[in-house]
Amino acid sequence: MSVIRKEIQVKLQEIFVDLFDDDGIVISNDTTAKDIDEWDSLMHITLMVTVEREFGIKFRAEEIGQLKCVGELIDLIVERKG
Amino acid sequence: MRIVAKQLFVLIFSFALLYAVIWCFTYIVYPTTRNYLDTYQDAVYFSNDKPEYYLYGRGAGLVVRGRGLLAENVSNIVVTGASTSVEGFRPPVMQKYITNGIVHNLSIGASNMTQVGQVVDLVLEATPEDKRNNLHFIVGVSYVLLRPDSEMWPGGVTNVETEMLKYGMYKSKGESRFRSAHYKYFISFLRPILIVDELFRRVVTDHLFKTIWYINNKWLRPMQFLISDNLNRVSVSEEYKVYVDREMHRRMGSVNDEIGDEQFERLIDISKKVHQSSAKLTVVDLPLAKWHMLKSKHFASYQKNKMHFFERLKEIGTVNIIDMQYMNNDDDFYDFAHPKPQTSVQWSSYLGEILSKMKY
Amino acid sequence: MSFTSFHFGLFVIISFIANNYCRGKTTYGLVAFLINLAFFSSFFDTLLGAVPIVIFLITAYFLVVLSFYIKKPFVLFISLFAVMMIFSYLKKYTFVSWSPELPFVYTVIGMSYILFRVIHLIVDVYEGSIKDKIGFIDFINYCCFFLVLVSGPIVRYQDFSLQYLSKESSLLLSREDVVGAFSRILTGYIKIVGLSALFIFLFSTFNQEYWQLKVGTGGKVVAVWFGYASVTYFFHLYFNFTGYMDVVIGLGILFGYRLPENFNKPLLASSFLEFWTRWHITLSEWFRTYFFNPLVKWLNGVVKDSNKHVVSIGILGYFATFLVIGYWHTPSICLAILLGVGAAVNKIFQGFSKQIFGKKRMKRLNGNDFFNYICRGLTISYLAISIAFLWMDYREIYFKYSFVWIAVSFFMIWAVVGAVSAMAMVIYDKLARFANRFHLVIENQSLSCMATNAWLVSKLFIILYASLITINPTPAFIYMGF
Repeated sequence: MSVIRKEIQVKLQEIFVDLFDDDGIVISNDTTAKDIDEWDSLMHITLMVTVEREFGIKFRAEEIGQLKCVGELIDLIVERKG
Repeated sequence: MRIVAKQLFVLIFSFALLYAVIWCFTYIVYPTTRNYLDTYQDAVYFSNDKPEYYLYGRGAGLVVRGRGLLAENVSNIVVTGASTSVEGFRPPVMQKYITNGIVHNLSIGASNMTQVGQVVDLVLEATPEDKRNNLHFIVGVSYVLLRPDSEMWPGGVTNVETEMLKYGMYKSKGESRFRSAHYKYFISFLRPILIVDELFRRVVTDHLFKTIWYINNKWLRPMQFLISDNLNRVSVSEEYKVYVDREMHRRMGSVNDEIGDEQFERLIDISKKVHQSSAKLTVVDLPLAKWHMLKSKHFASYQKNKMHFFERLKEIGTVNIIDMQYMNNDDDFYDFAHPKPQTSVQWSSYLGEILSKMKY
Repeated sequence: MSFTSFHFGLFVIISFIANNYCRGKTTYGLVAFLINLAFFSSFFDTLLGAVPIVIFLITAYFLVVLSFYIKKPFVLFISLFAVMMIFSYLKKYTFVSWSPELPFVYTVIGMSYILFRVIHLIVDVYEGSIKDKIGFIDFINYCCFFLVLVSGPIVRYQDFSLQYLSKESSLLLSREDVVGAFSRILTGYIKIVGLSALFIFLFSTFNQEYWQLKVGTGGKVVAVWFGYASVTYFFHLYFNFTGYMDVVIGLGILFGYRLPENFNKPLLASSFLEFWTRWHITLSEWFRTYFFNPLVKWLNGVVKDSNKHVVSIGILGYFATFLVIGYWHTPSICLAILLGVGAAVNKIFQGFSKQIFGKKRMKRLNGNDFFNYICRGLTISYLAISIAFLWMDYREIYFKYSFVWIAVSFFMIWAVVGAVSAMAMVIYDKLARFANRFHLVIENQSLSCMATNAWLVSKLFIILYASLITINPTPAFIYMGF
């Protein structure tokens, strides 16, 4: 795993813990909405808004709708920042 | 592509095979050994008679789908009417007196004259033209059969019409999809479907209806009439007499309990149709329990109005009117109109004897 | 052309053969175009009646192309506004009733679904999620694909075009695919001609009783008939919709399309919001992507300290989204409000119960069977009552009874129907477990060819029986008018 991805994951970890208000959350590339109970449509879009704000990027409507797991999110951030 | 075509072919082929197997099976379970038609099954819910099941249905269904049998006989005597005729005129008893034709009972419980007219239509349709002058209709009439259409069929469709529309036999009211000579092949083709229907009725609906009927009469409305295991021993309570008056007032849909002309006109129509096709007509003026005839305003109104219409019937063509109104006592009936089983034998013999002496 | 007509069967066979023998992108595109055109045109009695929807399609295509070339927010806004206005005008929504109507009779078959596809195209082309230029033939083939024209599911263009373009090479279907597809189609028809027909028959019986009740009849009687009618209508809707979906998805497999599932056991949903992730899934997803998400995003931008108001923003977002979904179903505002309130209350309840019980206890409660069945019962009950406004005019009750009476009876019916549904579901689950075991054996691929065919044939027999026994016409697809 590249250094950039690692950094992004660490930052995302903070965002997740903060947003879901749960210290027990540990994210990995395979983490999906099913793994976190409270990850519903509302938390999904809130998460996206927070990520957009924190990383200073913009997602497309279709990308937000199609995101399946944390790995894909990191891919997307890398692509957008790169 | 090939795999889809193959699957489709296999599906259709195996379906045809299954259908054919069930079709053959129906002839083993329900062999066509009947020589007369009888709608009596409808009436056996509450009697102890063992129902005789018939694949082509019962009641209205039997009339629509079973009438093909009529074409096989040279001469037919067909009893029509409502439940009183179903129970009162038993073909096996009548047949003993009659030598020049086969007696059938195609009366349908809960009929009015409109529906009786439809039965007559269906019977005429099923009889080849050259045999129609050997056809004899018996119509059982009492005021109960003169219930107006708006009260009887709030949905606008009679039970006979419902059965006609079933299985796509008729496109719409009275418009057959088949020529009259051909519909019986279609009925025969339907046997695998009909057997499912029949078995379902036998296993589920019959028991359900019987239970409902039993609960209804034994516990919920005990005043209706006193149930005995033997219908011959039933007697009517005073509460029941009051109940009948109230119920008839509600059912006949007339504020001042009078019998209107609408259903009398249907009887006239029947007579016209019968004479046009050179068949014969006998009208039986059915009896009711005496206590009811004395009290009922409907009956009084019927007695007054019927004379005029019976005269008109005679003008249209030869018609025999048999008056049976006062031939019974109160305890010959198990309610206000229906004969006890032993009375049925009496009625059937009486009618059979008259018919046997009748000269056309 | 109705899915239950003989014409449709013939049409499917002919188009299936054409679909299979025509290869190469251009030829396939043209053949698919002709097939779709033939199906589409079967809904129009006159040429003039088709003019409005054709103009709508051409305008929409023009706007899609426009958003490909000119990537300005202003243009996007104008485009979206334009398609929605034409749509609302042609569908005669009440808020455009001031404008003069077209002086002739026209048909708007499948127009709602076309609108959803068009908005999806405009937005995704604008944002660059769809990078290819879309040709007119491809556009029509996508928007008016005959299998999904009137019924959905709403397929994403990205998924559709992949499968559509793959038609250059020959179709490869395994025997399991074909048997599965046949089985699916037959199940669909059983649901349509059997179950859906049965429930609409029951519904019309109850509905008749309900309407015949005289003014002044006891509230209990009214409520009982209303309860019967709304539950049977709900099941009619359920079997009708899932039945048509089964047919569409099964046929899709034979035509080489993997269409998305539109239902995922909605009766298992234990909350209003969960229900909509299981019922009409592609519609919910569309609304989430193109309505809910942008709305919440916008609210997040507008509200200060939005991180602290996540739940409040969510409640507002859900309310607005379901208001629109409800309004889309029927112009009667009652359904819209009930759906909006249902979603909002659901979210509020979630927030409250988390605060009161704490996360861990909530989790344990959610794992409790009894609690779950009650939740499921109340969910179905709420939806059945809401959906009643599809067949009932709110003015009927509004003028007859007082507001308090309506509110009280609403909760009474909700609770009673909910309790009964909960009990029914316990029984249903027990039965389903048995049926599932049986089904696994039947649908097991290791079964011999004969057993599989026997299974299919018995389904066909049920369909024939159900279609012959009824004297009422086969229920048409209920979302047809949308």
